This record gives sequence, structure tokens and C-alpha cells, in this order.
Amino acid sequence: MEYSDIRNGRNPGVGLRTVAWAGVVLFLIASNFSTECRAQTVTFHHPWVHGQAVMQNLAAEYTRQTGVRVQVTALNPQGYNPWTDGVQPDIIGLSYPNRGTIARNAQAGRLSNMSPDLVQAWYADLWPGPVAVFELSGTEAPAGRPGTYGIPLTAFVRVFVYNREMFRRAGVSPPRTWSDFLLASSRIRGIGIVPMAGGVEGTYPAFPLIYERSYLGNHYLLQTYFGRLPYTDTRWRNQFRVYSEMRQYQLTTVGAAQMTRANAQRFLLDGNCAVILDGPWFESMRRTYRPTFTNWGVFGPPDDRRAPFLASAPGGVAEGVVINSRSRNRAAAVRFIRWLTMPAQQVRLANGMGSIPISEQASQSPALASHLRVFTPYMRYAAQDLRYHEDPAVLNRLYQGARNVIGGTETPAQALNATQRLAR
Amino acid sequence: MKRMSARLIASIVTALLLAALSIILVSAWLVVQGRQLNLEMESKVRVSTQLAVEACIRLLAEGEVLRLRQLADRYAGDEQVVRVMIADRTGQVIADSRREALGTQPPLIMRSFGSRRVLIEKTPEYWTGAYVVYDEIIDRDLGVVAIDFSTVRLEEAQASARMAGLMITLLGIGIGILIALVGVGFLTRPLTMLVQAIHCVEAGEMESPVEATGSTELVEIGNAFNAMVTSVRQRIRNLEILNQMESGLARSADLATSVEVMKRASQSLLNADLYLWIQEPVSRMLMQIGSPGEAPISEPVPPESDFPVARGFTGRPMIMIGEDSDLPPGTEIAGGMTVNSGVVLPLWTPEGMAGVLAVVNPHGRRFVTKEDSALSWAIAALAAPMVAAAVRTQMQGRAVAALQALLIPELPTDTGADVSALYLPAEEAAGVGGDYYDFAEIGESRWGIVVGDSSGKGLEAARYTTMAKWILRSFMHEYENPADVLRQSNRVLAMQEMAEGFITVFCCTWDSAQSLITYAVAGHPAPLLYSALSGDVREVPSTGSALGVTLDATFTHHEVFLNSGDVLCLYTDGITEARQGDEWFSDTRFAEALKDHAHESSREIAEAIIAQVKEFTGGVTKDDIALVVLKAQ
Repeated sequence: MEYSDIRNGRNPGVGLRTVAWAGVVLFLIASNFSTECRAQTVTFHHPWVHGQAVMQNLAAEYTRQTGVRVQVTALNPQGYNPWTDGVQPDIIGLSYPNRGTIARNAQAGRLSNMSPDLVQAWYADLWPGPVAVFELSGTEAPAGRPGTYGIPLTAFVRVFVYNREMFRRAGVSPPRTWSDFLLASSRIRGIGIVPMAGGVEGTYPAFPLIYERSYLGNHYLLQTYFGRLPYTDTRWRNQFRVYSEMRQYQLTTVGAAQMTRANAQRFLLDGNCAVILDGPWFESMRRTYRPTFTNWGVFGPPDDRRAPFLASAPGGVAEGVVINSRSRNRAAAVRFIRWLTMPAQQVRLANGMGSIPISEQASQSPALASHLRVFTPYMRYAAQDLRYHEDPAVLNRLYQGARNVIGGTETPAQALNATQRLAR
Repeated sequence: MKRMSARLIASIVTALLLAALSIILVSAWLVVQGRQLNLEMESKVRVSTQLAVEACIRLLAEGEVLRLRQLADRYAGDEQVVRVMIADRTGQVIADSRREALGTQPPLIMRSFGSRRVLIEKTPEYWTGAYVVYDEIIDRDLGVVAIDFSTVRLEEAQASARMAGLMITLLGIGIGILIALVGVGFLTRPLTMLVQAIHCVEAGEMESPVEATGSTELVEIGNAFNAMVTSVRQRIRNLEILNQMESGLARSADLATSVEVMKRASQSLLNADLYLWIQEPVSRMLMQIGSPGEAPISEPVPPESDFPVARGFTGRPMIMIGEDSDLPPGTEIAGGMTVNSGVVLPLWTPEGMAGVLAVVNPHGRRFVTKEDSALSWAIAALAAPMVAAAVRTQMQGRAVAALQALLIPELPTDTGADVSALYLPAEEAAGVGGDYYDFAEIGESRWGIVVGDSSGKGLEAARYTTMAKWILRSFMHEYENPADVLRQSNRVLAMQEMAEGFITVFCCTWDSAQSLITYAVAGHPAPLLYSALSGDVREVPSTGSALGVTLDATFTHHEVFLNSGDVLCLYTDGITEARQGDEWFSDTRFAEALKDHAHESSREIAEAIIAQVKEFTGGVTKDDIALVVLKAQ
């Protein structure tokens, strides 16, 4: 357009441009209106079929309180992949996620960083261990943006579940230290039963997780997984001394030790062993398999004072949620998730899910089922699973080595050397 | 060695005390400051260590060694934290900001296990705080955090405190010296003024009082000094008055004058009237002596009466009249004299009671103070000998007057010549002199005439003169020749052992029938003779020593014929030796006076001569004068 055209009042393009700008404005208004309308419905997909009922109840409650509709959908946990099913929910539920899962999805751009929303008042009431699963460091987070890419809704922890009657008969009390545990196992063995079953099984070797962390801590575990510390290091050898002592004191047998969790539960309920490593799921088995067995209790991992770090119980996230990075209701989704982590909802959620509340206040609530409440004290240092950094084959060899040491077919050095050879 | 002034000593002592006080206070402050700094350092060590421990609990529990090392490095970035070590629960150092101790088990860390408090290990370079990482919920020791804190800032703070202390001490000393100089000067200024005032008093200047300033004690001292000076001044004034009174009494010719002097002193000293009583020797009555021109108030007081004056004369020390005194107001101290307030004092001398003094306050004020009593006693003590002397002089004067009456005879009327005689006692000296004249009829138309002047004054001289007169008169009747009369009289007088004096004499016989004067002279001034024919005045020849000096003195007689109108003047040296300053009346003036009045009668001649002598001396004659004028007819 020339200056003279304007001066003469002639502007040949003005009509077309006016229409274009009006279209843009209308689109923005409509888009905003549409967003507001969708904000009234938060979509939430999860794989927790057993918890669908309580989730729907909570969603209905939330709608009543806030007017925001939450559409909860339970998907088949088999092959559950919420990012590829064609539907993009605002909130995505995950079962037993680890940092590896979160990091991969975050790096893929699927997760929204919730750090800006995690105010202190919210964050302070959550068990730190499970939350740490979602806390990605600079190297793990996408484009070097460290942050919290999800929130746990419930947690789990595995501690020692024992038969009180057998302990009474053996004349022992729940041990606090590793040496006490070994002495107690001798006494229990004296009454003709296997002291402990399970814990060194293949899928989730809870027992090694306890003492690996106690002897190596998160740091040296990661150092090992990253290849910076060989499995032949003194720390590992010291840790494997535990398996030798298990054998020496007949704490368990090879067969008992490699029992799956369900078999070990039944083994305990049948009165064949005194101790298993289990979590809140034990109650489910007890109710269905032997509801008359009520004289049971739990104790935390006996602390090996020779180890530099605390013998903490393995634990982590049972049910967690992330916000879809494509969510258009992110703010509403965050508010709903925060609502779910509040103590009142946490009690209902934990009782319904059969898991431990992620809220510390809810964990101490009398309304929480007693069989869950007995596990909550061990959430304080619940150890997250870092094994996703290691090659599963190496880990299999490591735990096989542990079982071999317990069974006496390998020495700790042999087992560790073999593992190390594989790790290379 | 020169003595230091009190101000300088006080200044030095004050400065030293203030300096010592400053040092003590600053030392105490430094100790407190040092402890405070140590406590602050300890507090920082404890708090910082505990805070570090709080941050380590979870990391130690989970074995987050890397993050613990990051934590240690971050803490070691603090200005005062020089090193951070974190040990696991086996005591192995797993994080060390310097990396040197990794894998070791430092003793302090090992000692910390089981302890629930921060252990602090101190070295000159740094303080190490070690605190166990303990989870009370699960009752587990998780590790130990040990932090080395640099003592540089502590030492800097301590050095700053020491420097501040030093500065404060120096400042304190300076201020102390300043305060000492100013304050002590201020404090001692009244003392300095007092010393100056004392020097003024010492020099006799007592008019300017000291300004009573400064502290209470100094004000009291100043007031006391002023009061003392006032008192001393008053006492000096009193002494001056008493001295004046004493000298006045010494100069007083008679009692009345003495009373006047004492009255003035009494008025000045006590603002009181004064009255004196002495005892009349004949009647024995106590008579009040008034000042000149003042009539006595009281009647004569019998000494045996009960009047206070009479009682005072008996020797009673002091009788006070007034309220709550010896006698009530309105007491009649002597007949006709009533007193409301006053004292009656005896005038006592070693020779006896001289009189009684009454000091009366006309205003009715009581004589109560010691000062009043002392002053009254002082007046009495000073007056007593003077009054006694005056009384004695008065008594002697009366005796002398009696003797004088014996020495000065009545003038004869039938001498065959115009004869006149005058005797003029001395004006100044109390008592009587030894001058005299005598006429004795020793035969028909013959008269003996003597003019003498004995040595000395007073009663003794009068006695001697009287004795000599009668000796001369007795020998005049026995011998015709005046020389013989003198020789015999000399022998008699010289032989008088008790007589220590002598007498000069002009002795002559007047034979009116022959108009002849036969005379002899014994050490006496030569008479003047006026010759009517020539109109001249001349001395008649005269030789011979005074009578009573030596036994073997010789005298010669002379004869002089008097023509009609001739005048012979016999006299004593009171005329020629009359003085006005250093100038004498002299023979010349005497002769001129005689010459001027020779044509007059003998009486007029004598009076004219005496008048001229008095005029010359201003009315005061210091010596007796005896003058006989014989004018031949």
C-alpha cells in the first residue's frame, strides 16, 4: 500500500484483513470457551481394576464438592499403554512405576512437570520415598529440566510378616538387628520349621534389596549399575556375607528362599515358616486362603550394624498418577490429584486399593485399616527400586549368586565374580 | 625536696584510680567479651552442625553418598566452615569437603556415636563440631556430621575486642587525667580560695570573706572560715578597743576621764553603759565617779550595805542582773540606781580592791554570752590597775595639795616693797612639783625670801621640799648671811640619809630700810633684775651648788641695792624651760616680758609673765612655776 492511497482513502486490502482478524479473535474466544467447558470434565485412565469402585466414588465425591466432573476409566492392566490407545486422558494412572518408566515417558514428552504445583503444604505430607520415584534429575528429565513428573497415590512397602505363635513357641521376639535375627532363626529352627521363606525370588528380591542398600546405599548401587563400581568391590563382598550367614545360621533354605511371594504367603499361613517378606497384600491372601490366621505381626528389616547405612524396607509407589502433557485440563487435573492426596481421600483410597496411603497423616489415621496401618511406620525410609538402571541379566545373575551362596553352591566371591564378568 | 600540692597529688591519685578502674572494667569487659565470643562461636558450631545433621538424615539413611558429598561441599562454601565431614554409622567418612579423610574413622566422629549432643573439639586454627545423625523415630544412629569452623573470625573479633579494649583503656586514662585535672581543680578551687583567704588573713586583710562553694564539706569549711574570720575580726576590734581603752586610761589625768574612756569602750564593745565606784578614803563610802560634766547617778554606798555594788567591793567575782541571773531585773545596785540587765564587777588589783564597775545594758539585753562576760572581765581587768593608779594619784594629789598649802605661804604685806608671788603647778603631770617660795620675817624691816626647786616630782619631792623649807627657814632665823643659811642647810640636808634628792635655792634677805638685797644662790637660776633707771634687765650674779648634794659645799653672798622702781624677779626653771615643740621660752623672752611690764605692779608683772609663758606653751605647762616679784618702792 502506497502512502498516497491512504491519503486518498483508498485501501484495497482492508476488507480481507478485517475479516481475517475477526476470525482469529472469534477462534480464540471459542477456543477459550471450549477449554473452560472441557475443564468441567477431567478424564482419568488407570489400570487398577480392583480400585475402580473406590476411584469412581471419589470422583463422584469430587464432582459434588467442586462441580468438576472426573471421568474415571479403568483399563485392562494387561498391555496397559495409555499413550497409545488413541485416547489422551488428562490423568494417567500407573501401577508400581519406577524412575525408569517415568524418565522414559518424560523424555518422550508425555508427562507434564508438576514441580510448579507442588507447593510445600502439599509436598510435606507425602511420604518422600515414593515421591522420589517421580523426581527426575537433570540427566533423567527431558531437555535437562529436572522436576517432579507425577504423584503417587498409594504406596507399598515390604517388611517381615511373622507368625506370633511360632515366635512365642521359639521363645524369641521380633529381632531389631541382623545378629538378633540370626540367633532367632536358630531358635525357630529348633522348633522344627524353616525360619524364613521367600524374599530372594526372581521378580522382586526384597531381601537383597534391603541389604544391598544397607551396605552400598543408593549411591554405590547406582555406581555399580553404572559400571563405576565392580560387583567384586568390598562393599558387595560385605553384603554377600549376609547370604553366607543365612546359610550358616539356617535362616532359610534354597527352596524356601526362592519361593514366590504368593507361595511364601501360603507357606506362612500353613505354618511351615515363621517369617516372610511381604507387604499390604498379605491381608488379601490371608482372608482368602486362611482367614482364621490372625495371630500375625510385622517387624522391620533387622539392622546390620556392620553396614554403613540403614537397613530400610524396600518400597515404592503402588499407584501413581501423571498428567498427560497434552492435557487441556491440566489445572483441573492438578487440583483433583491434590484432592486425592488429602488425608480423608487417602484413607478411602488406601482402604479401597489395599495399599498404603501416600499421605503421612492418613497413614496414622484410625480410619485406615489396621492391616495397612501396621506397615505404614516402615514407609519413612522405604527404599525405591533402582534396578531399572541395570541389565536384568546381570541382576538375575546377581540374585542367582545370592541363592547359590544361601544354598552353598557358590561362595560370595564366586557369585560376585560371575556377576561382574557378566556386567562387563 | 619540694612538696607537691594537694591538687597535684589529688589529680595524680584520681587519674591513677580512674585509669585503674578503666583497666579493671576493660579487662572485665574483655573477659566477658571473650566468653561471649566463645559462646557465640560455640552456639554457631552447635546450631550449624545440628542444621547440617537435619539435612543429612534422609541422605544417610538411603546411602545417598553423592548427595552427601554435594551437601558437604555446599556447607564448606560457608565463610566460616572450612571443612565438612560426614561419616556413615560405621564411622567411615563417606563425604569430606577436602576429600582427605574419606574412608577414615576420626576419633571425634567415633566418640559422637551414642551422644545426643554436639561434641566440640577446639584447636587454635578451628573448632570442630561433631553431631550424630540420629533418627529418633526409628531410634537409629545413621552417621555423624563433623564440621570444622575457622577461628579466624573469632580471632579477628577477639583482636578487635582487645584493640577496642586498649582504645577504651587509653581513652579512659585520658578522660581520667582530664577529669582529674578539671574535677580536682573544681573540687580544690574552694580550698585554693580558702588558702588565699588564709594568706589574706595572715596579711591582716580580713574584709573579704571566702565564697563558700563546692561540696557540702567545703561549703561548711568556707562558712566556718568566714565565721572564724568574722570572730577574729571582732576579737581584734575588741582588742583594739581594749587597747585604746588601756592607752586612754594611761593618758587619763583623773578618774573622771578614765571613766569616760571606759564608757566609750563599753559602748563600743558591749553597747552598754558603764559606772564606776571607788571608796572615799575618809568617809569610806563608795562614791560613783562620773565622766566629765556628768553628775553621779547613785548616792554614796555604804560598804557594809547589801547593794550589789557594796557586795562587789567585798570581792564577789561577778554579779549578774537580769532574767535567770544572779539578781532579777529592777535590782537597785546602788542607792538610786536601778538596773534591769547588767553585771557588777570588782576592780581587783594585787594591792587590793580599787573599786567596783557596773556594766549596764540600757536596752535590757541579758549578759549571757561568754563573749559578754569575757569582755566585761577584760574591761574590769584593764581598768583595775588604771583605776587603782588614778585613785592613788588622786589621793597623792590631795596629800600634795596639803603639802603645797604648807609650802606656799600667805604673802606678807609689810615687807616695805611691792611683793607678789605666784605658784603654778604643772598642767600635765599629776601631782605636785618641788617648786616653792617662802617669806620669813627675820628682823625689823628685814625679810628672808627663798625660792627653791627640789629634784623630782610628786609627793616625795613635796616632802623633801617641805623639809628643806623648814630647815632653811630655821637657819634664816639663826644666821643673817644667806650664805651661812645655805651652808648650814646644806649640811643638814646632805646628812639626811633617807633623802636622795637635792634642791636648788635662791635665798636672800630684804632689808627694806636700806633697800638692800643680800643673797646667796645654791644651784638656782639667777634672778632677773630690772633697773628702773636704765630700763635694762640683767641677771644678778649667782654661784653655788644645789643643797643636799655635798656636805662641804660653799656659798657666797652678794648684795644688791634696789632703787625705786627696780624689779627683782625670783623664779624657778619652769618659766625659762617652758617649751613649745623644740623651742624654749628662754631667759630672753622672760627678760622682755619683765621689761615690758616692769612699770606695772608686782602682781601685774607676775601675772603678765605667767600669761606669756602659758601663751607660749599653748596653755600647758609641763613643770611647776614659782615666781616672786619684788618691786622696790
